Amino acid sequence: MSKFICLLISSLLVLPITVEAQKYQNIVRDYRNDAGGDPENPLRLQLKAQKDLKSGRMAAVWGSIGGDDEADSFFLGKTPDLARLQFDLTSLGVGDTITLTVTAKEGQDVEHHKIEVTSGDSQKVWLRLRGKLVARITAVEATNYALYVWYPGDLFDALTENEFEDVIRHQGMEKPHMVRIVRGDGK
Amino acid sequence: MIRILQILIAVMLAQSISQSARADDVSDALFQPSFSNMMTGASAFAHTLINYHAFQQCASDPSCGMPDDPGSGFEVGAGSCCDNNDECFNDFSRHVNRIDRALFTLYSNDRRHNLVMRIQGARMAAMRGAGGLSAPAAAVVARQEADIAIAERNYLEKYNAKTNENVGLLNDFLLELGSVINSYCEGSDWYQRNGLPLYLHAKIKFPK
Repeated sequence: MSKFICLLISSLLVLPITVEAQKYQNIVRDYRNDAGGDPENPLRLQLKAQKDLKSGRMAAVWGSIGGDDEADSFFLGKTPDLARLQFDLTSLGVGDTITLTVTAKEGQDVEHHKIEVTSGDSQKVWLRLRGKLVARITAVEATNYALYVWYPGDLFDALTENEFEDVIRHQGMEKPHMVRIVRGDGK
Repeated sequence: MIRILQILIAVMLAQSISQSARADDVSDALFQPSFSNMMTGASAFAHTLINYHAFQQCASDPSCGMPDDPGSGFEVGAGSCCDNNDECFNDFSRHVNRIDRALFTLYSNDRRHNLVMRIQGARMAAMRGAGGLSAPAAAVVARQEADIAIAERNYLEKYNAKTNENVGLLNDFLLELGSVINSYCEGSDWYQRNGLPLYLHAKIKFPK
């Protein structure tokens, strides 16, 4: 009986926490357990399906950076084909500029891409990458950041550059109509 | 006494977990708006892609009409008898919306199919390129090519089954609209004059 009561009370107290946690899945809370800054030894960041994300997989980091914590490095995986990824970086503090450096290494070929955000600002950047992918966050002054990496899927990879630019330009477009009503018999 | 102690320990343990989680919530609250922004943006972008698929595929079909090209496409009329009857015309408009949605799905899926085939083609080409390296590598590539071909065949079967189902649904809507028009304007033959050509177009164009 006592075991049952213990279990009941524990369940009642823990239940709301479980429900809350389900809203945000697969988030690395770097502000709790700081990721290392060495790009040769980055923390593995897995892109996974997220509830409410209709297309593809994503990874998320809610982190702190700057001051004693000079850098956070994350390994995003290896891709043999060119993959389109969206990097969404938000600075949440009143600190300095936050810099995200994305490195794609394929054999001897190394590509670096830099994304910078100032305090309270946000940037979304699409990159087409191949090889071993590492994301490194740096800042001088202590601040918080949110980093989201979204891989929408291979249907986006299959788009040519022009088609992809077209989709970006059409963002928010309404559903096109295939049929138009006319007076009379139509054609 | 031991039971009371057990209960007390359990409560304290649960409370400590609860408190630490509440502390995390306070920190999490700082990040949550950025998460919502990201998800909203991603959802809008994925939605745009679906609309864009249908738009592109329809625009590349001379038979399909687009709003920015009023000279082309699927112009459907109710006929002069129905035009002069408000109730009939409103009924007609409601049914046309369903036909529009059915065609939207067909065009969107058609475009998606073309992209999937483009991906498969690129994979095949990459395999063949890699196969030139050595004999064992060529054997592995040959096996993988066979796997890709099987996957492609399975995909095509599923695609055609779904497409035929969607074309059938379109025809159901067209037949229903024909009956509606006929109920207002007897002998109008709307389906024969307007519905059937659209159905035949879909039947020929979409299955692969």
